[in-house]
Amino acid sequence: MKKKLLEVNDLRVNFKTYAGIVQAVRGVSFELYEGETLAIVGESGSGKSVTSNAIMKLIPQPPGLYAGGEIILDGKNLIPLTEKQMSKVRGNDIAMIFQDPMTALNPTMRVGRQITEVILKHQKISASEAKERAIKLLDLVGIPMPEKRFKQFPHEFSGGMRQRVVIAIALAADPKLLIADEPTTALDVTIQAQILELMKDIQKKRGTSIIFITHDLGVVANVADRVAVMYAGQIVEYGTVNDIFYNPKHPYTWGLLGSMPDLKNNVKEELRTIPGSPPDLIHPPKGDAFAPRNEYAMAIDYEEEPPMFQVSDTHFAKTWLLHPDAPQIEIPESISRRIEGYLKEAQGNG
Amino acid sequence: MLRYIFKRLVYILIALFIIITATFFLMQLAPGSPFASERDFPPQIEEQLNAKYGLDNPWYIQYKDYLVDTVSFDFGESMKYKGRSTNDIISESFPISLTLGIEAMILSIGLGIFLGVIAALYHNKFPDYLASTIAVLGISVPSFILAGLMQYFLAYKLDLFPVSGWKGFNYSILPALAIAITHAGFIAKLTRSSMLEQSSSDYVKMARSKGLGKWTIVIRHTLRNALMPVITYLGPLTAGVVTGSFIIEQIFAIPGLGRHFVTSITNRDYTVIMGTTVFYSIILLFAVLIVDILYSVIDPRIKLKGAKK
Repeated sequence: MKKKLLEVNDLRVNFKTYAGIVQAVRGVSFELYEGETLAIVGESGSGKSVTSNAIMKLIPQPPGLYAGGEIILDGKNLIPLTEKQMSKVRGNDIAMIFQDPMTALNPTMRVGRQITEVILKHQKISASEAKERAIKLLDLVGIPMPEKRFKQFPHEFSGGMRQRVVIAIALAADPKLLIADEPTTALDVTIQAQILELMKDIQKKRGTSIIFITHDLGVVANVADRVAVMYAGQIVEYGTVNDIFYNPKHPYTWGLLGSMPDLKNNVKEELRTIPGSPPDLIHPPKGDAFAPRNEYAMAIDYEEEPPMFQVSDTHFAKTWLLHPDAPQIEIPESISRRIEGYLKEAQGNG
Repeated sequence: MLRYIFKRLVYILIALFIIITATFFLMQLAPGSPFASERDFPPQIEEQLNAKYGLDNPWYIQYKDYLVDTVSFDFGESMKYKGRSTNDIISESFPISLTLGIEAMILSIGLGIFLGVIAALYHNKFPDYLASTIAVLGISVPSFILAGLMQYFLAYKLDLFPVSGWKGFNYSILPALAIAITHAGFIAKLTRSSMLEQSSSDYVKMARSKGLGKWTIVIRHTLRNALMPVITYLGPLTAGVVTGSFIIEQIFAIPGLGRHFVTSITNRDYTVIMGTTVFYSIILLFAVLIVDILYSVIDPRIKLKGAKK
């Protein structure tokens, strides 16, 4: 049995705005084991980035507010920690890879210094040792001529190279947990594949746990051990990659999987979309938040919020369809066909 | 870099030429003469005076004379203060103005950046409101009113500083403050908005995610990137400090160059006008050049045009 690294229990994050209080994260719970990758997927505004920022306590307060829950890292709850105590956790235990490498690096500071400042902050070593470490890190993330690159500024790097630098910075203090917030979204496809390979490689070498935020299901199938599907600030389905891809239970997961283009089966049909738009989280709907967009919605979906139903040891989904009294609805054929094609492709990619 | 600076020096010469030409023709257009205030002039004496200073020559000869004077940095004798050369006037009074100006600039930059950083760090909290109020007051209260108030309260009532004159460092504090506060207000405003903009950027969030402390982030990361608009303001600041000193020098009875610059115009003291104008122009043109070089020092992404890597 692997050791549990991170446990998030019923995390709630609110934002105060002029229009009202936005409940961005409404009771998220998940676990992460050492050396594992958890992918959090969902459309824009589903609360996945807020969740990841909340784990590092990077939510600015105000307007943000931790309305409840626990974030337990290695047996220690992070929520009550002060900014000062938190600064020992950030970078050291948890590090973050940002979405856009073009803006994540300080344009007026040499790349090397941006790496060494993390090392020097968290470890008691000399500046020259830190430099050595930084050059090794640059080498590790696949930057050629690291000694020369060490002295350069971010604008002298390409986008993919910058993301490698961002990863090197994240790895600098050897964190146990890496949070990658859509690390490949801003990159083109070939660079994406390289960065994913790099992250998998690093995970294998160092045994780092990764939380991978993305809305690209192809990436999920490629890198994740476990998947959490988020909708309207809640996890609606949670399971291993196989659970989610081979046996999805939540209609929202069906919708997400169905929205991928079917490139394998050469059928001419329109791309499926999920109708409607996500609910207003200032006034979260009564009942199931997904009900208005759900073609299988039942009367109870508008009345009462569904609990997490357990499908198997590892697989959970939050939909009334799993209630024993609910009608048996199977995943639409066109969607399951897409998934098969997709998985084949993912396996083909390694 | 050297090539760039050389190119800029050529531009400065061209600019100076245009300034001299404009000043010369403006002087020609303005009615009156340096000797108009002295009454009951026999025409013979006026003729002699005009001949002595070369004012009887046609305009193109005079223009040529001024150009030659400027190139040789010898602006000739003052037409108002007999026996004093323009160069003497400048070399006597400029060090005073320079001291005052440098003090005012250091004060305004230091105070402005400090207020701006505080305001941005405590955005929408009491320190922000306090700093912003001070900044707005500084911008809106004219320096001469501030000077008067400071003279009355700080110098006359509380006796902390001398009221006026120029006999040492103590004498420079109030006038330097009076010049600096308006600019400090501007710089505080610029720094605040620029800091706020930078604070919400990804690399600052990244710095936080590295576990760096609040002040480390400000000093190492945010401030340097936030300083660009402040650097831009340094050009106008130099001009403002120079021109602002005219009034302040009057109020505090400081024998600086600013006073000569203004009085020479009302006196139609042609040589002094030309001398001080050229002198101030050189200072301003170099200030702008220094600002442009500073840009590339602060932000490595900015490469000076024509400069080699």
